[in-house]
Amino acid sequence: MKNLKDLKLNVKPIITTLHHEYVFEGPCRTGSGEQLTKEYDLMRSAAIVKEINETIDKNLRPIETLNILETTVVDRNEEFRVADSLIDQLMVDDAKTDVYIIYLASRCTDLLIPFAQKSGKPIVLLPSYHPLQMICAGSLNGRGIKVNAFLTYEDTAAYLDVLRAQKVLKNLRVLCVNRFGDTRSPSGVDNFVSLEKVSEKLGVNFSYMNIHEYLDAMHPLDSGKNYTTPGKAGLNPTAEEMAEIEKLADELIAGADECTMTRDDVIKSTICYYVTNKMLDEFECNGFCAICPDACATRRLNQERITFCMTHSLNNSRGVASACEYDIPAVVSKTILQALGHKPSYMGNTTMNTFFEDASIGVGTKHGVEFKLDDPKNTILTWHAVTNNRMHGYDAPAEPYILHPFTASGFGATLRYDFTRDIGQEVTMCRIDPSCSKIFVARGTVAGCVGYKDDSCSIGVYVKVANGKDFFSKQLMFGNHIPLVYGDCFDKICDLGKVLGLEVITA
Amino acid sequence: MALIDEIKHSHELADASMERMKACAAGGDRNGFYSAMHDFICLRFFIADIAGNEDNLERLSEMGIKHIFGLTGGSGLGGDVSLKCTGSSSVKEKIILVELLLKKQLGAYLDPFKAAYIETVSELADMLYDNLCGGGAQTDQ
Repeated sequence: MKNLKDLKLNVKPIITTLHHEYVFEGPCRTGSGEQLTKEYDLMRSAAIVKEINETIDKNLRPIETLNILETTVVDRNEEFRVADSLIDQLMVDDAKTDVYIIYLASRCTDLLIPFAQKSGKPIVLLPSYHPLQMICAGSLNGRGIKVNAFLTYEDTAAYLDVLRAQKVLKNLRVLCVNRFGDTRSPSGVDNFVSLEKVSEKLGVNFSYMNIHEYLDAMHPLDSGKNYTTPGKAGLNPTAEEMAEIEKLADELIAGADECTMTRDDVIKSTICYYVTNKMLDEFECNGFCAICPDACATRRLNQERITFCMTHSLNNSRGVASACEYDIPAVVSKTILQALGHKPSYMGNTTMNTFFEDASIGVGTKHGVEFKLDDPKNTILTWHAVTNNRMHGYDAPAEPYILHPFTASGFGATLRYDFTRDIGQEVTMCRIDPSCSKIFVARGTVAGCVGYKDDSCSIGVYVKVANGKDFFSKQLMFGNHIPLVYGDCFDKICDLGKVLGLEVITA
Repeated sequence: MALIDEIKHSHELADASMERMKACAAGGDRNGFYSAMHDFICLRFFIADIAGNEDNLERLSEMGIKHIFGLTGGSGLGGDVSLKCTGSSSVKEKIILVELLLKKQLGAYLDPFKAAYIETVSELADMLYDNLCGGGAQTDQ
């Protein structure tokens, strides 16, 4: 399985230069003596190439998510020929290039037009004071070839990150475990209306699996005996894999500040996580969602003594976007957040805190902590029992967590994280609407936690936003779960929305 | 002495340094070659009195531009906006011109792409000295 957090954007630098074959002065060149020689032009071009390569090495090459290919230098003389041999030089790495970064040290837009038309890859012009930049951008954009340029390398890098997120989406294949159809789940009707349109617009792909086949595979050592696929090899855990699963379950228990579950029930939830990932490998998927209430209604989750909560938590913490309740827009939105925030994301019901202005508790608080909010009218609550303890980064030190059962009868491991540890932390939120034509982007700060030691879905994070009423009215166009990631990637998501052709709605 | 005469005199002294460089190359004196080249560059940049032991070519070139502007009543680099259609800076162009001068007067070969990575007088001196004195030296004559 290709983990999208490790996906790199292949960036091809191109520098165009010019030399004069003859010694002459005129309106486009001045100088005297050596300055008008071909030799001088070649040395000057070499100096520019060196400088730009060093600037790329300093500003872009250290970025881990970029794979900077070898620079190609294309030199022309003052005949300004547009020759196929030159276009071939420009295209030398086209097959492995995702985006071109071009520095113009010569008048060469006439050469870049046929190159860009042939390649079709996005182009970013590197920072330069030179008017050639605007000439090139204007002429290519005017021909429908997407060219962008920025004033600084910092902004250039940010845009390349946006293009990488677009590549991430094109490499996302979501495993959708369903029961009533590919987009319909009774609890998540705010799903995408058409997955075909999502594939067409965002490049995201989907694979599907029936909930009963999925659950059958949770039975250890039973490959070949699964009820829904009799006689066929299943992905059920083998004896060797059960040893790994038990070891992982023991590590999860040992790593928890508190565990109120039996070892057997933690193992059952760990089987779910492990087998799900076998399926992701088998289906070559790197995103996951599964129905929830409609799975619950079969009574099989009760029978198997699992919920999908911990699977989602562990998936997200290692870069696999994983969402509750068959919420495919949430998987896609989490993928965006994880690609641009470079951290695991979190999702849940996102509701306004309208009822409890004093204690601000909107969900059950059997073991909850009363939490006084500073600004309840501008505070939203995102809550589901799929928190993870890597919110500060995939490689950041693991934060404390507790293991509690989802159910009163003790099954369904949930990995619970106390958001009060991060009060004041900036967060960025987003969600794509059911028609896949809009993206909602918002920012806020962590303001509290609810349901840390509670049962069920009750755990959540309070997020203070700029204007609660505005957030609420705009959310109406998008749906329930508004995933979030730590850090500020608001601008990048807005830029990605534009790149994807989505209407960007902000709050 | 008028400024233009001072510059001419400085160039004459640079010519003398060039002769010393050739003599050092012929006599196998690498240190002498470097010393004469440093003098040559500082004299061509008109900064012989203020350059001291500065070895970095960009700093020497910038020093030369500022010094000339100071002497002519300009305000430092304010008069040199480095805006060229070619996209290269005046500091870099000044270096290229002195490198070309050295290459031609010494009759040595200087690869443009290797030359672009030369940062100091020492590196330039080594490259030219090796080309002149080393076995199988490449030339573009």
